[in-house]
Amino acid sequence: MDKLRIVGGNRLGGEVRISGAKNSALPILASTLLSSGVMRIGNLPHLHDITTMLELLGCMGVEVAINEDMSVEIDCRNVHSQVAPYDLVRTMRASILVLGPLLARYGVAEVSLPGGCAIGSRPVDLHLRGMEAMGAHIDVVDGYIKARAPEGGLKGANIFLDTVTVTGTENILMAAVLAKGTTVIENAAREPEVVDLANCLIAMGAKIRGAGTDTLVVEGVEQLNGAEFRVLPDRIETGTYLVAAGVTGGCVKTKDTDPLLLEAVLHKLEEAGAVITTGDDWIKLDMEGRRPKAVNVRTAPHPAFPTDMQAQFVVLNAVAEGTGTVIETVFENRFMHAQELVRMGADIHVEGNTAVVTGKEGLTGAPVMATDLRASASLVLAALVATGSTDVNRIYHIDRGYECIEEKFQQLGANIRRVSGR
Amino acid sequence: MAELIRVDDHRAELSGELLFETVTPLIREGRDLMAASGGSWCVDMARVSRASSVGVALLLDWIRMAAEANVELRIEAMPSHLKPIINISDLDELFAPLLAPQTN
Repeated sequence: MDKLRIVGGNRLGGEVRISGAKNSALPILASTLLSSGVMRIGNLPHLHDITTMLELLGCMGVEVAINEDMSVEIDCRNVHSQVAPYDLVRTMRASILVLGPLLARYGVAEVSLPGGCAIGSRPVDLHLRGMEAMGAHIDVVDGYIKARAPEGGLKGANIFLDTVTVTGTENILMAAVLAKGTTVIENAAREPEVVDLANCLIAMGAKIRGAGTDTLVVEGVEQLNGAEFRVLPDRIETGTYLVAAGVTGGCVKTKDTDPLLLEAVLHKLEEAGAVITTGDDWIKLDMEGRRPKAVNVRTAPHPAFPTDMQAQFVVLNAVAEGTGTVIETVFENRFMHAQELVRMGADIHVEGNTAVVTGKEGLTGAPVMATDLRASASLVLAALVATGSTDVNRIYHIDRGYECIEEKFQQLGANIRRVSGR
Repeated sequence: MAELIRVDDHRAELSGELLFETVTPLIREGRDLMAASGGSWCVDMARVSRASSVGVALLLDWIRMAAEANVELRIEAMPSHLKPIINISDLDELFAPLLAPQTN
């Protein structure tokens, strides 16, 4: 198993290109199943989950080609299967996103439940209730969701989501664009990735209002056409590189990104003492060699502070002047990284959904283990500022969300390399 | 449009655009030329004007055929824009021994 070996202490500087957002790319790739023409999708990140989604589409009969400009051309006119098999779904939970498009376009879908995903205890339940509200008949048999649209296709409906769910909103939105009549999705997710999907669907000919608000109104259309679309930049990758500059006292410019996507994060970085400048598609953070000041952070759905930046700010506070409180309100048990950071010398006390972090002048290198994607990123950030060498193990988590992470950090002057476990 | 033109028993020139619409007949043509090559076959891609990953898929088919038929396959003048596609497909190691060194 590969690991990252990082020798900390280098102040980061330079420019880094931000990749397309995986959480936007995956639903957009699923949405191509709705198109009656050829789709061309650009700015896809080179990540394993993207390949898995393309493989999933391929096994349904979708023709996929990578163009010279690395955009992907997708032709769904010869789809012969509406089944998402367990072997692919188990490796990528986002496979559930094909349910809505398949049901809307072909009237039938069989999607394996992701491993460990029990109906009722996971938000997948909300996806299914949304489809049922549109008239779909759904059974769960032998680990598969078997869905069938009513005679004449899905029908528009008023759907209230009990909890805010990004993939649930996306799945129901994709089902609604070809439904007969009007669908209203209330308590919808407002994340930029949902807006990006809506913009892609609109480019294909869908009629959607309210993207970016908590109420989406969809007028169903007869068919959607082929279109060209470019996936939005990854706001969490952007934020991670900016925090990396912040904790090392460096100066980093993130390119091909969008400052409007992470206003809450930029505000907190300014509060921590960073000098932030922005352009249309870039953000520069200059820490001017200073140590950051501790900040208080409370995660909440967009446009508030994103849960996916929480772990990085725990590290920022761990090396900052003063004490900062980080409150996690979106997910439970999302402080797994705290224990590993304590092994590197951080002063962190976790109680329930709150971490109280008192900054120290330095951290020390240690072998650490990643437990999830963002926790892994936080360990890399901690290693960049720690004295000595840190091995971050189980980095398959980080590879799922960060394209070429070691190359990008090397480009910024970090001493980081991948050590093959083979 | 794309074409595969036989130069001699051991060499053919591939030209044009390697896309979904153009490559299907080339698969069979390449296989036939390779089968008649007597053990070594070189495909010159200097006149390929455009190619998507469909072009890589075509080459993969010929590589598979070459391995099955025990033919020594070489690829000359591979278009530079195909290399990133090969790279993101994790196929560099497979293609490296088949590529003739570039002269420029």
